[in-house]
Formats: sequence, C-alpha cells, structure tokens
Amino acid sequence: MKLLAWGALLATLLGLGHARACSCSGQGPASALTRPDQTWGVRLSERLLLGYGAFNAHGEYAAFAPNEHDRSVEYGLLAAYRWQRLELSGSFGYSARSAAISDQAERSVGFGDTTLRARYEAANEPEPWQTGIYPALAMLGSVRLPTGHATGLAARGLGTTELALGVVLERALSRSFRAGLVAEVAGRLPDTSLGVTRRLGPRASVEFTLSCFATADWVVSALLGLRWEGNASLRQREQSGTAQRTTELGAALSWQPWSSPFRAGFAERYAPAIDQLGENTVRNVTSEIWLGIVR
Amino acid sequence: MSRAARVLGRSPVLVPSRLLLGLSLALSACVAAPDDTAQLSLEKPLAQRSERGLVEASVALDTAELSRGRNDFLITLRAASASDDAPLLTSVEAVMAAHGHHAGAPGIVPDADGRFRVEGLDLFMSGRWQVTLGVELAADSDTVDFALDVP
Repeated sequence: MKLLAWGALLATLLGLGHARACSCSGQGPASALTRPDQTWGVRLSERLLLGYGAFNAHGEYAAFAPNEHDRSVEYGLLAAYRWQRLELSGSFGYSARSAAISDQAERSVGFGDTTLRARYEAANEPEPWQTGIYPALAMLGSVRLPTGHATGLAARGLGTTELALGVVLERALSRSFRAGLVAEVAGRLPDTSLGVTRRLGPRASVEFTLSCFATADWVVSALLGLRWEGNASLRQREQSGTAQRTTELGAALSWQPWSSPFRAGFAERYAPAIDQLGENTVRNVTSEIWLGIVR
Repeated sequence: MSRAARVLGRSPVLVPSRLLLGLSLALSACVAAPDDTAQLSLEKPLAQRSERGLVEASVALDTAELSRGRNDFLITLRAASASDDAPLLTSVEAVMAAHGHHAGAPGIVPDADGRFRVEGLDLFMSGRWQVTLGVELAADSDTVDFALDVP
C-alpha cells in the first residue's frame, strides 16, 4: 500500500514531466528578477520583522517579556540588468528599527546594507522534448557592503563586507509543481565597528522551495530555510558559543503575468519557537510585500 | 523509478528531505555552547591575569547567579609586582561580538585595598558577552578580559 502511495506521488511529480510555461521570476531572494527575454527590472519592497523572543547559546528559546520588543520596517529597492544569461543587480535598503530589551531601548532610522549581485544561469533543465532529470543550474556571487549602522541594540547592518557564492538548482516536478534549492556560503572581512578588531564567522545557508503554478499568472510557494553562522572572533580570538543558527518556514504568493510587465508578491516567514531550531538569534516573523516592473 | 532514484537507490521525493535533514543535523553539530566562559558566583570568583601580566584580578558576582539584565560584580585588583601601587579600575565594557551589542557599567565604586564594586552592568541579551576591565597603574595601563555566558 505504501509502495502504491509512493508510486502515485512519483507519477504525479515526475511522470507528467514538465511545468506549464510560466512567467516565473523573482520568487525568492535567489531568483532572477528578469526572464531571459527581458533586459531590466526594478522591484520595490516593504518588509516588516517582528521579534517575539530569542534563542540563547544553548538553543533554548525564551519569549520576550511584555516590555520588550524588536521591530523593523525595511524598504528595499532592487534594480537588475540582464545580459543574456547573466543578471547583475543591486539592492538598497532604508529601514527603521526599534528594540527594547531588558533596560535598554534604542531606535534607529537610515540606510541598510547594500548588496551587489551577479547571477549566471549556467544550465537549463531539459526541454519538454528532451530526456533527462537534471535541474536548471544558476550560480550566484554577491558582495554585501556595510552601508548600514551596525552597532547597538537597533543595528541595521552587518558592520563589515560580506562575500558570498551560491548555487541555485531548480527543476519542474510536474505540470504544476517546481522545486528549488539554494545553497550559499559567505565569508566576512575583519572590521572595527565595535572599536576593536572583530571578524564575524562564515555563513552558510540553504533554502528549499516548492512552488505550485496555480494558474498561468499566480504562483504559490512553500519554503524551508536553514542558516548558520560560525563563531565570531574578537582581537583575533575565536569566541566560542557565538555561532548562530536559524530555521524558518514560509510561504509566498506571487503574481507574474506574461501579458504585463508588472509583478507583485507577498511572502511570510516564520521561525518556530522550538528549542534547538535556533541559536543566538532573535526569533522573527517576517512579512514582505513587493511590487516590480520588468522589461 | 527515475534514473536519479536508481542511482541514489531511493525515492527522488525523499532526496531533498533527507538532504535537508542531514544538513540540519550537520549545522546543529557545528554550533556549540561557550566552552571557555567563567562560571561566576559570589562564592566562586574568577582569578584572571591581565593581558600584559601587570595585574591579578579576582571577579565575583554580587548576586546569587548571573542573569540576563543588570548584574553587580565585586572586583579585586592586585599589582603583579609588589613595587607597584594598587591598580585602579577605570572602566568595565562588555560586547557581544556577533550582534554588535555593547554595554558599559554605569557605576564603579572603589572600596578599600584594591576592591571595587561594579554596579548595574546590563547584559541585556542571552549569550556570550566578552567583558573587558580597564586597569590603570601609576605609570601604565592594562586590560583584563573574560567571557560570561548569560543564560
């Protein structure tokens, strides 16, 4: 019976072969904003982060006290230019963050960090008339520049330059379903934003996305993201127990019509309040809405 | 069954989920709790030599246990060389390296014989704080570093 169930699922996901043609782009942070037949795109977004508690160095979660909070509103501008398989983009942020923890309270408003990214679509998945199960492959390279205030309780940036490399694997599972896997590693340069030499630990993240093309224009996605950061160093000494871990679940709804240059979407991310799913991080619920235009 | 499934010897549907599970476990294994932090209490002070070896410091909590929020400390400083005058505690700074957080003690109250009471050092977030004591001697200065794991 179990074998039959798995067989039916496999037939659904793989047997039908290929996704229906879609105008899909910009479904996540690793997606391209533009399609191969387009040249440029601009996207404006508003993101709201609400902190509900924090995981300590032992992975134990504690909710904020009634007088504590950590809230951010971020406005983002993403501009992208495509040249054949290569998309170059820059994202710029302006945000307000208010945090009150224990007896400390701080509010800051201003620019966030700036990210420059190159995304190269190295291989396409098989066309409908071709055989093969290999996924589409894209490679990412990015530089995050420390243009945001990075110290204090209401920091808006990382405080150092981050260099990241990643890969994106995407594959149609059936006419309506598409899966994606994004893996990224990043290193951070030493900085002195705390007044002494500091080096943030390396970062690794992976995000799995399952998208359903409900109609030709509407896409619904579910995602699971894991993010890890290594121990930071202070004055060339590694600080044990400062590594961070975040686990997030999420869903996104996007409108990406063929017939119009406009794009829109909404995404919700949720970090479960379960011990060991996070470490040394604030647990956030993140809501994002975005509007875009591509040509 | 598809070619990938045959190659991997399992269902293709399970591949991503097993990959994620494995990755999650691997990431969990990469994150460890602080292993070099001081376990302070009133009865169990920390004895620590300064960076340049000019001062011996003894740091004790003035409360039953370390907690998130304001903490008071009792600090005793002694010059390593008998010829030096008693050291002076001039600053107490704490940072959380990964988050860019900083805290300073609003009150340092000198007592007799190189003893100081540090009041209200607000370690406002759980996790590892790196604490630095600024110490002045007659003709020199030094720092004493230690780490605390705030529950």
